[in-house]
Amino acid sequence: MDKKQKKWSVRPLALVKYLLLCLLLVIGYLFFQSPVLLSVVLLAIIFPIASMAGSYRMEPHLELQAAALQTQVHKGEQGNIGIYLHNSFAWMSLHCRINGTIENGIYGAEEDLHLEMPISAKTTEELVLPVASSYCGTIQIRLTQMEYRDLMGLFTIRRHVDCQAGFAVLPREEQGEKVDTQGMQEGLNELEESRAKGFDHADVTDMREYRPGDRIKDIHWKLSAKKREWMVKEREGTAQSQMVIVADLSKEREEIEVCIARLYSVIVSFLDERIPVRVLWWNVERSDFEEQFFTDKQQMEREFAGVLFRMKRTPDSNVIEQMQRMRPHLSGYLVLDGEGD
Amino acid sequence: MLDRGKRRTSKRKKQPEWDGIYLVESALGEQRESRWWTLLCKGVIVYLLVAGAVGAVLSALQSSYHPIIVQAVTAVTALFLVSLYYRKAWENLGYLLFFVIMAGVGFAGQNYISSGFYRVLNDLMEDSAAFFDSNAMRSYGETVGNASLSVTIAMSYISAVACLLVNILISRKMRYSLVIVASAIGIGIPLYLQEEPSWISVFQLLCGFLLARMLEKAGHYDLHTSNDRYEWKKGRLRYVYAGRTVMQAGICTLALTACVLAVCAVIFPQDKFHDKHPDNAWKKSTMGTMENFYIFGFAGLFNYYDNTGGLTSGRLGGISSIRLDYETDLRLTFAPYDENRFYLRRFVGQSYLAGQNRWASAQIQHYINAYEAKLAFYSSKPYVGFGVAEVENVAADSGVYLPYYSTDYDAAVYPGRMQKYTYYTSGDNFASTPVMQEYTGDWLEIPSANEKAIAELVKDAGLSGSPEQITQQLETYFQKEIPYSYQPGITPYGQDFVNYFLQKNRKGYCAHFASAATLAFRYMGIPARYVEGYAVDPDDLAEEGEVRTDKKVKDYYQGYTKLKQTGVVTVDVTDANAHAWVEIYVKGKGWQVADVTPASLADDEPGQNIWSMFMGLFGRNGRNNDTGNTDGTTTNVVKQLQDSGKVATGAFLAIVLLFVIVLCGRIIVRYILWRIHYRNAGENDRLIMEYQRYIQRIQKKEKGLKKAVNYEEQIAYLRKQGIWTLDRRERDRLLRLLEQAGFGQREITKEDAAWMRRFWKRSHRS
Repeated sequence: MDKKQKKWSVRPLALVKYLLLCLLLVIGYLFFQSPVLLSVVLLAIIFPIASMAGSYRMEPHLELQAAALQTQVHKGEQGNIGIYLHNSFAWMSLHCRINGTIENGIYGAEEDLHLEMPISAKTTEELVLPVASSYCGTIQIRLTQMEYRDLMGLFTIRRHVDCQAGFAVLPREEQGEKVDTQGMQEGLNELEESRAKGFDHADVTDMREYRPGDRIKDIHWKLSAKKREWMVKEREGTAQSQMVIVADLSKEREEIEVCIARLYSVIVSFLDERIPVRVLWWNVERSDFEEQFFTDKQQMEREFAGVLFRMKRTPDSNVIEQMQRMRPHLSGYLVLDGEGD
Repeated sequence: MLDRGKRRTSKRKKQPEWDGIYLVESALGEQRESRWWTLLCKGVIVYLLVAGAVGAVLSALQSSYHPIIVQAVTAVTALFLVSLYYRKAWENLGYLLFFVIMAGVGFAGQNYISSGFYRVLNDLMEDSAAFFDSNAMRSYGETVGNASLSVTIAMSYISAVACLLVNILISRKMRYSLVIVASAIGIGIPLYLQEEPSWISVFQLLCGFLLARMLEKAGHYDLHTSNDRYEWKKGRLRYVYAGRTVMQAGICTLALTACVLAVCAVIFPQDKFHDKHPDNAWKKSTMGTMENFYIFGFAGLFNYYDNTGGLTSGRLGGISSIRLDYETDLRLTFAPYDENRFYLRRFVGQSYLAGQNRWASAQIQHYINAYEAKLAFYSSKPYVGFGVAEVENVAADSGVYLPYYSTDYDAAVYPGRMQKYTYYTSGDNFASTPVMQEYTGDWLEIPSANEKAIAELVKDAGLSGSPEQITQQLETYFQKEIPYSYQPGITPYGQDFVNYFLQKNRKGYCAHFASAATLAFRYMGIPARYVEGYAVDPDDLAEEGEVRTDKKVKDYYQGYTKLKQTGVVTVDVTDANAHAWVEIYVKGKGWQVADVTPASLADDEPGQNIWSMFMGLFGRNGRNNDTGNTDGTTTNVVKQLQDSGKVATGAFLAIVLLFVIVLCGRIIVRYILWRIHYRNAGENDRLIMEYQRYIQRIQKKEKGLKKAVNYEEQIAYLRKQGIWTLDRRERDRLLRLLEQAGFGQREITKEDAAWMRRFWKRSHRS
């Protein structure tokens, strides 16, 4: 946590009321000439000073932390973010307000978040914030300021803090649709090979006998004539070893929601077929695509959350144009948006 | 920042939401803290405030009572009342029980409570009398002899009632200002008299105030009926309970306050402080007004009279009641010569100033009788005597205290000094010579403002005949018609003293009777004058007198005596002997004493207690109704019990009715508010409101449904329990529509809304 400037401020109305009370006490003492009233006046002066001094001395001993109690949840499921306020000093405050923001990281629409916690002496106060999201993405909170009052409520001490925590919100499993990966695969392979003639990512690595199901196009006619049996080319190209998917995050929220759900289910579907998947999405700040490669389902379960953390909604942009410009060598890929493939 | 969504604290779902992210409020309840700790803290605050205030007042007045019992009752009551807020049901029933107990205790112990309360007031009056050096203070009738017990019971009862009021203010709203103001007034009253409260009670009061202030400034004192440690309120997530923090703050407060007060107690000891810090001029300027306040209460601030003591030097109307302190004013040494009262005359009033309510002092102090008697004595005439009275001024005002009949009218006696007065007794056969007749024209004046009242008195009393006869008639009339009272009440400001006495108040003490009689005599053409002084009865001599064997009788009395044997007696003359009477001029006899004040009765008036004052609010003055039966006492007690029973029954029924009305009212108001919100809501909001209402109805039977934190879980639960029958398609559709209505920007279509409503209706029926 980065400790920046702290700032004192007086609560003017409370202080004025208190000073009026003290004035009444002094007048009462001067009138009654009572030792009891004199002691009350002294206490009325000493107590706020002690309260202020204690609060002032406590400030360097305060530490605020936030941590997500899980890395990912599914949409609509509850996730917890723990907020911990450590106080290693022997003083306390009954009113501490923590200000920050909360947002779904993909959409970047920060909203104010205000919390109030007590500060106990030599104790860590813990608040678990149970949140859920109606949209996929990430729930991120960022705490920026802490302010607390002295016991008499006359002064406020403010302090800037900077701590954040969050977790990913994955689509629900039912949200995804089973995708016809075969069709996607075949179509992309044919398209890619027809375009990549002479620049074949699908390299011929070996020759072998024909097996039922092999494509006619893979038949090596010359060798087959020579050997008097059908021989086919053994290819290993990116079109067969991975699926490239581009997520279009430039639409409206509802479409992005559908896009992410489809992305999730498409990736699952391909990984079920043991087809690695490469996911690309546009990063406005870097003006380039970010990508993530998934090889198996376990890895996806671990790392898809990270993808959501890196994703951001982009302004209106033509993904296909960007792909052609930035990834010209990738001529075969699947673009997912909320409307259609 | 793109696509900023709207944050809604949605009325539909009652949970806060940020751009599609919502707080799962039901899960907040998993963070719990027992609310007993917080309630205990509030109970401690209530106890400290009440016990501190009551203890401060009682300790300042040095009333005799059992402090531990009062503290214990206060503590138990405070904790009981605050524990009622643990549950709604406890609150309603608990208060009912409390009222019943307080009514029962109040009825059973009314005498003790009344007597104890008056004991405290009498302590205040004693301190006031000592401080203002006045004996004209009110006195309240205590009916219980054991003052310590009665004060303990009374203050315990009052503390319990105070706990009820303070608990409502503190536990709900942490409003301590009213409590502090009331405590300040209560403590200020003895404080003005330089009576300091004990340090312990001050400590309690201050700690209570500081703790209440800390909680009030923190803003986390609302009452809750759940143990959820956090709640969403006013757009933020705030803690509800922080028992540990409050305890820590309380300990710091107690420690710091104890330290400061302990140091102050050592540095500023109470018993010596006022010696070093005498009253300032500002306070002294308020003494007169405050004395009236202490004597007459708030009325005294408006009916302003100068301070008047037992002897008023002719100033009348300013005394509400006489409170005798039986302190010695004078010490008289003389030899009694007859069985009549022995008078010491201090003041003679010549003209009654109506409206000003005072007698103007007589300018001429001739006393013909004295000269005549002196002449007769030295002429050795029979039935005449000569006496010497030694008057020692112990604590009376400086002045002349003349016995009958003395010529020493210039011989004033000052406090701490003694004066010898010679006097001459005339016996019954005294006669004045015509040449010594005194001019009596100054003694016949009647103010016009009093003529009507005096005329009515003369008529009612049937006054006629000789002065002696008129004296007897007046005495008989007063004895029958106008009772003697030490507590006649103050004459209202602006009214005439004599007229108010004769026409409205119809009760009074010697000054009333003497003033009215003086004017009555004058009305009958008999010169009369108003006299104040001291009167010593033979009973006083017999009970209080000390026979002085060291004195010779002949040094104190010579001449005619009606007593067979006499001796020299010394007697202490107290304020109980202060008196006012009339002197009338009788032709041939000169100025004679005409004492028409009736004797005071032992039970002159029934004591009004605080309960009769309270019952007076309901049209009952707490007095027994005289049925005229021979066994009147028994009947009256039974009737009183019956009346009290009716009142108690009526009160109980009223409370029950109120309870029912409030309960029904809450349900009706909640429904009306829901309808108003529903009418003002959009279609999406209405659907969610209907859905929530439906869910709440089911939650009353299905407790497990409360654990479902979102729409999906609720639907899953209801399907699982068989309450809803939905296929997968319908389930997905319902879920999608609920989420759209709850969070989406798009309005639900009419078809979808109709489908949802049909579904609920169908489910409700099944």
